[in-house]
Amino acid sequence: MNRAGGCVALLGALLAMGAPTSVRAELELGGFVEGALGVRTAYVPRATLYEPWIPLDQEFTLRETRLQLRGDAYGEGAAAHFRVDVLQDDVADGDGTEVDLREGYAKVDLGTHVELRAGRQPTTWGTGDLLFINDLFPKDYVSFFVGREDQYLKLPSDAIRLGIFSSIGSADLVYTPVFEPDRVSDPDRLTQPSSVVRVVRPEHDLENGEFALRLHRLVRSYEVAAYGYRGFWKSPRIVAEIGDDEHPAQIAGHTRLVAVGASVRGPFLGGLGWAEGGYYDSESTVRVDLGSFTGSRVFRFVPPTEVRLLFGHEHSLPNEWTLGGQAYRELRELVEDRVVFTLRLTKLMRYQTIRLSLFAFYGQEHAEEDGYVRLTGSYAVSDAVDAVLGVNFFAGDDHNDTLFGAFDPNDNIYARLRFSF
Amino acid sequence: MKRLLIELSIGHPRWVIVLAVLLTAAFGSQFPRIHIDTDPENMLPPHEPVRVRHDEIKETFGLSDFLVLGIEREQGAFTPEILRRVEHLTQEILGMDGVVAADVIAPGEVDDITSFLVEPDATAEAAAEPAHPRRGLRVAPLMEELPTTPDAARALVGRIHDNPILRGKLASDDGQVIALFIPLEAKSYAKSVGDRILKLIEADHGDERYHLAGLPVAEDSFGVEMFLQMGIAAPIAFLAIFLLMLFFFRRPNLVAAPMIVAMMTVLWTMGALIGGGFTVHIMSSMIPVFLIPIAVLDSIHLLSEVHARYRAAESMAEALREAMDELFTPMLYTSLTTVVGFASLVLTPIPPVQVFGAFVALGVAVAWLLTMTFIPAFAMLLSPASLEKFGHAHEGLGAPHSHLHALRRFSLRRRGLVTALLAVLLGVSAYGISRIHVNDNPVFWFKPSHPLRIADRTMNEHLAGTYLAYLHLKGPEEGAFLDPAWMHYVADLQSFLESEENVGGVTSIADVVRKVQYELLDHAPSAQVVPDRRDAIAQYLFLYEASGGDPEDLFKLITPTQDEVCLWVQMPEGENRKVQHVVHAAEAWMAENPPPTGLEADWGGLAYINVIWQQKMVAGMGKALAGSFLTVLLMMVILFRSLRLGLISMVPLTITIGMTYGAIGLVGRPYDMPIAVLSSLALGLSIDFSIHFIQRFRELLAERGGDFEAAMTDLFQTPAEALARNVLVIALGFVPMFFSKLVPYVTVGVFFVAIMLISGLATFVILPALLSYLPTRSVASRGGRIVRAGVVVLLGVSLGLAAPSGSRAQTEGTPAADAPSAGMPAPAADEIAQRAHLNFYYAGDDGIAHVRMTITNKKGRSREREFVLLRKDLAEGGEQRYFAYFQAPADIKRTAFMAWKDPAKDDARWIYVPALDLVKPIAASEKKSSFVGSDFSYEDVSGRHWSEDTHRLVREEVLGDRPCYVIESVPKSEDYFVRKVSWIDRERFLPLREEY
Repeated sequence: MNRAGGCVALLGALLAMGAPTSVRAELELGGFVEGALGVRTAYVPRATLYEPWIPLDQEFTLRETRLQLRGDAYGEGAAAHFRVDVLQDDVADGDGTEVDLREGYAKVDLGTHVELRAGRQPTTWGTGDLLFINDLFPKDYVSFFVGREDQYLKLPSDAIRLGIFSSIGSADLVYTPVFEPDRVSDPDRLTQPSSVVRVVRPEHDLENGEFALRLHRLVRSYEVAAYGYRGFWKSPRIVAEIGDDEHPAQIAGHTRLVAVGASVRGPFLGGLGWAEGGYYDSESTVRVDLGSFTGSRVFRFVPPTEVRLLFGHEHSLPNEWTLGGQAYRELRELVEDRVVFTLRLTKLMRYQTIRLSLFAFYGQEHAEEDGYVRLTGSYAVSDAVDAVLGVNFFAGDDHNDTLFGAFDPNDNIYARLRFSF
Repeated sequence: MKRLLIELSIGHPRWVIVLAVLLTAAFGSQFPRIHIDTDPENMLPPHEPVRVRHDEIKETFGLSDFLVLGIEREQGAFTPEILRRVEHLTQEILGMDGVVAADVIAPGEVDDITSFLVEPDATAEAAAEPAHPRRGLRVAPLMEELPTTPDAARALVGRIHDNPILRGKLASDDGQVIALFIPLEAKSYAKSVGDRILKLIEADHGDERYHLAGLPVAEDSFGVEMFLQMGIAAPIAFLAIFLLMLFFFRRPNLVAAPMIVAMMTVLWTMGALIGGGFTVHIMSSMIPVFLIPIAVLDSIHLLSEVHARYRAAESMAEALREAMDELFTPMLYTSLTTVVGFASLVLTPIPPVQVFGAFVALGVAVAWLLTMTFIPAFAMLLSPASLEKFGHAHEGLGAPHSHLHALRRFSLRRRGLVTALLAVLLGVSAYGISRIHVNDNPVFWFKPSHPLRIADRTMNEHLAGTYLAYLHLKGPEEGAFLDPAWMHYVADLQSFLESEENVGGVTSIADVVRKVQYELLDHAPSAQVVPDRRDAIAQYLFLYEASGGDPEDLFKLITPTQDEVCLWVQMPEGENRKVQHVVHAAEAWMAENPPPTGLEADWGGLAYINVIWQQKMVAGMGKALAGSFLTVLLMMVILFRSLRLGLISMVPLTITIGMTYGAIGLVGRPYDMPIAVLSSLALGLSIDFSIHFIQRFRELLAERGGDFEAAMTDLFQTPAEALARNVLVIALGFVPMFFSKLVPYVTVGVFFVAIMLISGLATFVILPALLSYLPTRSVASRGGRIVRAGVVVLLGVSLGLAAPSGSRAQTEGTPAADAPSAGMPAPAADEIAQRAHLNFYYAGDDGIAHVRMTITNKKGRSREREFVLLRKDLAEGGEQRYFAYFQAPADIKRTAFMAWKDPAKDDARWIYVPALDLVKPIAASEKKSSFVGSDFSYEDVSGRHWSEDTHRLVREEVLGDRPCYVIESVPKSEDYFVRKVSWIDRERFLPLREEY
C-alpha cells in the first residue's frame, strides 16, 4: 500500500473510531476459507522462449488457499467494514503468504441525505455486463482470467466517497488521491506476447489523483445516470516505439483521460434492457527514463478521442434460464472501430443451488477477430460449502494483435471449494 | 445400464448434447499440443536391440543418414560448366543448417589417393634398390580446382572409377551422373534441406537434370505429404458419406447427427491421443479415416431402425425407445468386437501400431456411447414438423430391395452351390495368402510418377545404390583388424557381397588399404590385394593419414583403435525383401567361411531397420489377428449361446479377410503396414454384419413361430435393407481415397471398399445358406431376451400409470357431500378471489415480517434462509414495494432484494450484492422463477393479481373446521399453470389451501 493510500485508510479508521456510536454498536464477524486450483490447458509453445514473450514454465494458473475475515460494525449513523484476505499463493513468486486488505472503510452519515465513506473500498457502477464504459475504477483482469471469484475482478481503491441522496436524484463523488491502475498482467500466471519493455505509471503524488462522479435517479422503474471522470487510462497503452523491426520494443503508459457518459437501464421488451455511452477525451505526455545511454526522453502521445456505446438486453426464460446479450462499439478518431458482442446464458437448477453460466465474448478490430468464452458451474453443497468449476478459453486471430488472442496460451480450467462461516 | 442410457438421452436430450459438446471442446482443446513423428525408425521401440545397435554404429563411426542429390546428363555430366555449378551448389549446401558439412561427399570435397614418383636422389639407399623407383603417396581433394577443359573434366570420371572408395558413389561409371551425398544431422532436416537445394537449382541450371533421393527425404516428405492428404482424404470421405446418407434418408437435419457423431468421435479420440502425450505417427494419422465409417455405421443402424418405426410409433421418444431396445445388445456386441479387433493390435511389438490399435478401439467405444446418447438426444430435439416425411418409404430403396431378395432366393435354393463356392473361395484364398510377401519401401509410399520415385529410379540405375545398410564387424581387442587374417576376411566378405544381386557396391577399410598399396606400387595389378603383413597394413593406414587424408574419413570405416570396422553396403533397391536377401546371403557366407575367432557381426542402417520392423509386424499382426479372431469367436458363442451359430457368424469375416488378403497374394501386391492393420478393420466391420443379421433373424424366427422361410423373407425387408445401405454408404464414401497421391491411402481406400462389399455380399449370400442347414430349434432365440423386453415394457407401463397419481397426491379435503350452509347467498367468485387477495397480500397498509425459510431438497438436505421482508402498499390493490434483507446464511448475508409490483406491468426487481457494493436489476419477465431457490415463485411471495384469472365458484365445503368457498381459477392467457383450486375461508376471506 502506498503512502497516500495509507493516509486514506487511516482516516477511515479514525472516522470509525471517533464515530459517536458506541451506544448501540453491533458487530458481525464472518469470513471464508477457500482453496482454488487452476490448470493451464493450452499448450504454451516452446517458441515463446525465443521470442520476446514472457516465458512461462508454470502449469498452474491458480493454486492458492485464501482465508477471508470479515468484520462489519454498525452503529447509530455510522458503520465500518473490514475484509482481510490472508492468501497462501503457490503460483506467485516470493514467499507465498500475503495479507491483502480488500476492504477497510468507515461510513458516516452526515445528516439524512449525505453519507461519507473513507478508506479502502470497492466502487463500481455502470450498466454493462463485463464491459465497462463509465466504470473507470480499477479492475483485476488477472484474477478474472484465472478464475477467482467474480468479486476479485474489482480492485479496491483507497478513496473517499461522498454520497448525496435526495428525491430529485442522487450523487456519488469518489476521489482517489493516488491513481490505481488495472491489473492486466501477471507474468507468473499468464503469458502474453508483448514487446513492451517498460510501463510508465503516473507519479505517485496527489496531483495525479482521480475524480469520479455519478448522478443518478430512478425515473419510474428506469435508472438513469450521468457520469464524469478525470484521471488516467486504467490500462497502459503503447505510447512509443523505441525498437526496430527485428527487435520491437515499446513503451507503454497511462495517459490522461477525461470521460463523460450516461446510461439508462430498466424493463424493456419483457426483459431488462440497458444502454450506455461514454465520450473519452485524452491528452498526455509521458516522460520515460531510458537509462544511461539515451537519457530521459519525453514522449507525447495523444490517444484518439473515442465514443463508446453499449446496448444490452437480458431475458429470463422458463425453467430458470436467463439469456443476455450485448453489443458494444468503440468509435475512434482516425482509427478503425472496435466492435464487440457478448452473450450470457445462465441456468439455475436444484433450488438454485446449481448455477451454470456461459459468457462468450466476440470482438472485431482491424478486421481481426478475437473471442473469449467463460464457463462456470457452481454448486452450493450446503449453506456453508460452495464448489465452483470453470473454464476460461481464449481465442484470437493473431497472437499479438488482439486482446484475447494475446491470452491464447492461457486457456485454463479451474476449481474452487469454499467454506463460509 | 441400458435403461439408464436410453432414458438419459430421451429424457434429458439437452443435457446430453451440452455435455457432449463440452467434452468435445475439452478434447478439441488438446489439439494444439500435437506432436508429429514421421520417422519409420520409431516403428520399433527405442530400446529395441536393432535400433540400439544402429545408433551405436552411427555413433562409433560418426555416420549420418544421407540425402542423395543426383545430377544427370545423358551426354555426360562431367563438363566444366556443370562441375562449376555443382561446386557452387556444394558450397551452398555446406552452409545449410542440419548438414554435416565435414562429411559431404562431392567432387570438390572428397579426397582421392594418388601417388607420385619420388625423384631418385644420389643416396646410398637409392643405389641399393635401383630396380624399384620409390613412390610417394598423396591424398588430396579429388577436384582441387575446377577443370577448365572438357578433357580435364572427363578425366575425373576415370579417377573416380579407379578409386574403390568413390566408385559407384560419386559418379556413375559412364559419367552420366554425378551424385552428392549429403549427410544430415537428423532426418527431420531432410525436407527443409531438400527444398532449399531445389530452390538453388531452380535459380541456376543448364540442360542437366537434378534428382533428390534417399530414404530420409522419402520419409520426411511423406510425413509432410501425409498430413496434407489427411486433410483432404478425411473430409472428402466425410462429405461423400454425408451425401450418400442424404440420398437415402432425405432428411438433412437427421443425417447431420451421424456426421456430428463421427466428428465428435474423431475429436475425442484424437484429443485423447494428443492429450495423452502420444505422438501422431503415420499410422495414427489414419485413425480418423477408420473411425468415420465405424461411427457412421453405428448411427445409421440406429437411424434406420428409428426410421422404420417412426410411423407406427406414437412419438419420436417411443420410436427411439423401441429402436434402442432392439439394437442395444447387437450394437454393444458389434462395438465390442470391433474394439477387440483393434485392441488386439496392442499385441504387436510396434509402438505406433499399438497406439493406433488402442486409440481406434477407444474411438469405437466412444462412437458407441455417442450413438446411444447423442443420436437419440438429437432426434428428440427435432421438431415434429421437420420429421413429417421421416419414416415414409423411399422410392430409391425399392431397387436394392428386390436385388436383396434375389440374393436370398439364390442363397436358399442353391445352398449346396453356395457352400461349395465358399469352400473353393476359402481354398483359393488360402493359396493366395500363402503367396503373400511382406515388402515395404518408404519410397514406394509415393506413386510411380512422383518426382521422388523418378529420382529413386534414375539414381539407382546409374549408381551403386542409395539404400545403405551397415555391416558392423567387431574384433576382440584393439588392433584386431590390423591382423592380415582379419583384414583378408573383411576383403573377402566385401567381394562376396559385391557379387550379390542387389548390392551395387561395398566400401570397407580394405579398399583404403588396397588403394594405398596400389598407388604406392605404381598400379601393379598384383597390388590389388590386401598385404599379408600386419606392419604393412598399419603403415598404409598411417601413410594415408600422414599424406593429407582426413582421419575422420578413415574413422567412418574403422575405429581409431582398429577393433571395429564397418562395411557400407549400397543397394539400388530398398524393399525389405531384397535387403533381407542380402543379409541372409551374408550370414550364410559367414557360416560357411568361419571368421577368425572372436569376430562379432551385426547390421545397421535405415534399410536394415526397415527389414526388422516389418518382420516384427508380420509376426505381430498374425498373432494379433489370431488372438482377436478367437476372442470374437468366444464373444459370438456367448452372444448367441450356441457354438454352431458362433462359428457360422465368423464365416463372412473369414471369407472377407481370406479374399482380400488372398487377392493381395495372388496379384503380387506387397504386404505392407497399412495392409497389415486393415485386417483388424475387416474383422471388426464384417462381424458387425453377421451379428445384426443373425440376431435379427432369430428374433424374427421367434415372431414367426419358427417358420424359417417367412422369417428369412422378413429379414430381407427392413433389416437387410439397412445393412445394404451401410455397405453402400461406406464403400462409396471411400472411393474418393482412390485418388490420393499417396499409395497407403489408396490402399486403405481400396481395402475399405473391398471389405465392405465382400463382407456385405458374404452376409447376404452365405449366411442364409449356412443357417438353413441348422435345425430351426437351435437357431431360435433362447427366449431370455424377449421375456426381458416384456418385463421392461410392463414396468414402463406401470410407471406411466403411477406417475400422474403421484403428482396429484394432495386430495384430502372433505368431499362436498354436505350442502353449503343455507341462507347467505354466496358472493360472486371474482369478488371472493379479490377479497382474498387483498386480505392476504395487502393486509394493513404496510407489512414487516421476519421470515425463516427452510428449503429441503428431494434428498432431504435442507438450507436455511433468514430475511426481513418489508412491504409498502402505494395503493390498495395496486402498486406495492417489497424489500427483503437477508441475514443468513453467511454467503448471502447483507444481500438485499427489492421488487416493485405494478399489476399493470411486469415487476421491477433489484438485488444488492454486498461484496461489490453494487445494486443490480434482475430481468423479471418470468413470473414463475424461483424465489431465492425455494419452491415458491416470486409471484407466490408477492401475490398473483386476481384480474389475471377467471374465477368460478365450484362449491362450498368445510376444510378442517372452517367453512370455505372453493374457487376454481383459470388463467386468462396461457400461463405456467392450467387451473388452480383455492379454499377461501368464508368469514375471513383468507385462502386456507391452494391446489394446482
